[in-house]
Amino acid sequence: MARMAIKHVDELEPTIGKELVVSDWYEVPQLQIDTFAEATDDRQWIHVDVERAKRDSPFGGPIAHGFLTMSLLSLFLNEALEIGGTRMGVNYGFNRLRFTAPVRAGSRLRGRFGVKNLRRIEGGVQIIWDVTVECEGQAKPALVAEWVTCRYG
Amino acid sequence: MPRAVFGNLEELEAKVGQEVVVSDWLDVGQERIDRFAEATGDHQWIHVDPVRARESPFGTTIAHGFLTLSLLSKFLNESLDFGGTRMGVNYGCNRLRFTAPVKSGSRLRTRFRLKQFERIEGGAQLTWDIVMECEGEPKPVLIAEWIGRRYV
Repeated sequence: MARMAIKHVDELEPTIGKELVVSDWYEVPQLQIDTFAEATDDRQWIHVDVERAKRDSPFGGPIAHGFLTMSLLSLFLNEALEIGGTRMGVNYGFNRLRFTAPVRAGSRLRGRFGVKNLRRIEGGVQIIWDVTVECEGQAKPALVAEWVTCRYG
Repeated sequence: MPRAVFGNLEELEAKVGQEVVVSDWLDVGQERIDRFAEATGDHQWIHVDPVRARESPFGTTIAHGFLTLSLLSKFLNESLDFGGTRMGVNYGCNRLRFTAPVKSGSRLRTRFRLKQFERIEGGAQLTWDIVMECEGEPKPVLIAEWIGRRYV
């Protein structure tokens, strides 16, 4: 169930500059980190070698790939917000993206989203999102970004 | 085998402003896309439903933008041997654009130009100008400024 449902993308316009929606919490277990490592061939020891990471890593244990945390944005947004009347979403990129704190295996994450800007494009709209990913129990966010997506009707 | 080998970070510093390395080509097949969907929970039909995707504007399934982006670590680490460094940490990106769709079954490679080299405690922060190419396509699929840190 989406936490917020809007009938049309136009309803986003008056929300520009405000926080719009916060996702549920999602756990990131080691198994998910391992699956991500398989999908991307990034098997660096700080992510997948649990024993070595406990022993040698400055983070005290294995951490999720920054790109994994980032890649969860699609899930966070799509489960938190349903935009009616659009058929397809396309990821356009970032204006800025920072991994601001490590995410230990087993952490719980959620995404906070606000619309920073919205403009008409052919067949749809382009939306710039202000994004923060929080890690449960941590004061510092794990990720902050300005994310650009397009929605087509 | 890495295509470029550096004995230490100082040798890399001398390359600021230059293209340092171009990766090997990598096949991005449906199996990898499906695995990425599983790892990230993004099962949108344009990525994982080959039958429905025939009617998409791309005519077939396409890789998640986040998948092509996440391959940067592999491309860099397999292309370049950072002598004497113990650990790499991903710091983020400045401007990044997915400039063209990557159809399932495409071959990709990445060009790395070293834009900036900064000393930090225990290592260096490297800013890379990235261009990811798709075999047979004139337009790149990803352009970005990517920031990583290497620790000795």
